[in-house]
Amino acid sequence: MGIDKRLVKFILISFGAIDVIKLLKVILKMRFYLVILLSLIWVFSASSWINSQADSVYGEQSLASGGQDRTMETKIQLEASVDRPELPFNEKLTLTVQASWDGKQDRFKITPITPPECQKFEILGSSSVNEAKMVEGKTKSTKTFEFILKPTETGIGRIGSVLFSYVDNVTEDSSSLSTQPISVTINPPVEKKASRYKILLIIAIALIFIYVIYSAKKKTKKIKIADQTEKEVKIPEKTLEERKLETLSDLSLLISEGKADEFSSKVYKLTTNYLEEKYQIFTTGKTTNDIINSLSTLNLPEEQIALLKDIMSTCDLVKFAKEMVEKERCEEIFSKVKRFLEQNVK
Amino acid sequence: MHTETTRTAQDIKAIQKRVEKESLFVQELLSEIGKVIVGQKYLVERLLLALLSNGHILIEGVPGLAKSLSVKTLSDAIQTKFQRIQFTPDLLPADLIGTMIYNPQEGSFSTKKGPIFSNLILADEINRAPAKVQSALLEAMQERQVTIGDNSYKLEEPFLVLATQNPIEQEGTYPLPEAQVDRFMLKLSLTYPDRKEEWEIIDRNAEVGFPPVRKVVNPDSIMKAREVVNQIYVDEKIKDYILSIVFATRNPEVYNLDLKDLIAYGASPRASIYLNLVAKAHAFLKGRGYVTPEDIKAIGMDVLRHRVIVTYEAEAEETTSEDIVRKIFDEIEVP
Repeated sequence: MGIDKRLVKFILISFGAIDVIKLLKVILKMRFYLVILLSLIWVFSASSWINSQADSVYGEQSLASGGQDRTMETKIQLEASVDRPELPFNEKLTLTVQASWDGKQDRFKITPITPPECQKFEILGSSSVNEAKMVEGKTKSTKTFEFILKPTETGIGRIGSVLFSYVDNVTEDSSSLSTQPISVTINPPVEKKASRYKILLIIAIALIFIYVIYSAKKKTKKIKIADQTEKEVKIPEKTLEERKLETLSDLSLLISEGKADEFSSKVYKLTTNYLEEKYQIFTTGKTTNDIINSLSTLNLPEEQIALLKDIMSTCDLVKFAKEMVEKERCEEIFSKVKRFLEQNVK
Repeated sequence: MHTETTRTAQDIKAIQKRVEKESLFVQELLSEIGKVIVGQKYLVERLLLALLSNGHILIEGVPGLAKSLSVKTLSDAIQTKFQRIQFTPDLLPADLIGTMIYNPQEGSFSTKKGPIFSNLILADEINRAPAKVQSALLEAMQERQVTIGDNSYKLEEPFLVLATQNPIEQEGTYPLPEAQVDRFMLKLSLTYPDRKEEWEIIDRNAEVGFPPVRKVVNPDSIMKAREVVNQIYVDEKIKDYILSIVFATRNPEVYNLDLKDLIAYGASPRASIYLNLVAKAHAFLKGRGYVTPEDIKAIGMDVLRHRVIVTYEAEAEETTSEDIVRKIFDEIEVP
């Protein structure tokens, strides 16, 4: 237990507790920027989450189960697939036809394929991509055709065969391949769940925007007030001695009330507090002699040390020997402390 | 008789005058002892404190620090009897307190008083004697009387025991139990003299023998001084300070001191009693009729160092009871 506490203390001292406090203050000052940063992070996370929600709504379908067809030819492999086996009416379907072969791209001359015949679908557009890559030291070429299909009505839709004709440039043989027709279920239209999150996102962005404007206005106002305050006549802060003199004058009431004991205790405390604040000396566990000895190391004028010793010793007499019940002695202490503080003001 | 709270400033002034009158011998006594003993002002002052507050002292220190010589010189200066008893493993209680001796010619027993019948006793290496001898001494210290056979004999006042323990050799010793140590009013820790003092020690010991010690006071004056010490005023603020110190050794957490894990047992109520008594004696030595926090701080360590028992954890961290007492005095607010 003790070791742990000491370890914590050591770590605190090592890192500097004051620095931690400073860091906290800086964080407080930078809160405006932090809010923006956190909001951006939130927006980013929210949009990622929305995307993932959207994905989960549509679902990724296995191509294998999507009604793919593979007509094996000795040299060219042909594959046709859709991105999902069923879809809502208000979405689009992608049909991918991919031909791949070993060797370079120019090995075969490929006749442009005709779009498939579709039932309950209309073709919105198509694209093709050629690709060649090295696999285990051998060149492998691919030609991919993509068709974007839009459902025209609900039910079981059918995508007809795609005819693929080619000529081998090496052997000058010509041949053709075709894919199997694919069936896709077209469901009634589904409302997108993500729209709710989009609204939330818009609200969040709007709130951030409002906060930014509000903060900016507030900051401007603050700067204006600060400028105005600076322009106003500055009231000088009271010095430590002035504050202690004020407290001392309040204590003088105790003399007139005849509370000599209380007066001397409070004057002693006032003096030690002043010394702590002025010279940063620790007086809690120190006696009058200890305090005077500490002051001796501070190169204070001997006259001041003697005056302090006189004040504190007299207070000790009152506190511990019931001395100085007379009003005159209290007034004597009062004037000595006053003199000491006034000397330091100068 | 006045209680502390009903005392007026006039009463305290009267005590002050008595203290000033009765403590005149103190400076004279100290300077007379100083003719023989170099340094060791701390030891001599503590001997006087114990003498004035009717207590006993336990000293832990290496050999050769003029312990015997200090007590002997003090004894000469105050005109009291002095005995040095070397404690050994074969020492018997009878060797200490005395015994009944049979006289065959008269056919009767006569009492042979032991060396304890003296005023100032140096019990050298008390931890070398078995427990029953230690108990006999401690009982005599506490009761201030000795029973031999059927008769009880009062010990002569002033009666002061200065027991020593050698901290170096612990083999074959009988360390005093904590409860027995608590009976000593003060436990002192002596250190070697500084270079300047030791230079003077060489010079003084260049000749055989020591200068004769002048008799400064008699035992009656010491007893009279004790009466004055008893009357010295202790303000309530001082008593509160004493209690704060003692209670801080028992419940340091109450005083925001992180010492709980280091203290196994705090100081006993004897500590509060002795802090009050010895502080009064200290004020007397300083010529004051009232106690100040300076007095408490001056003697606090000697009263408390053997009454605060540290834990194994503290021992492992090489934290001594002195470190703990010092911390308490540094942290508890002085009134």
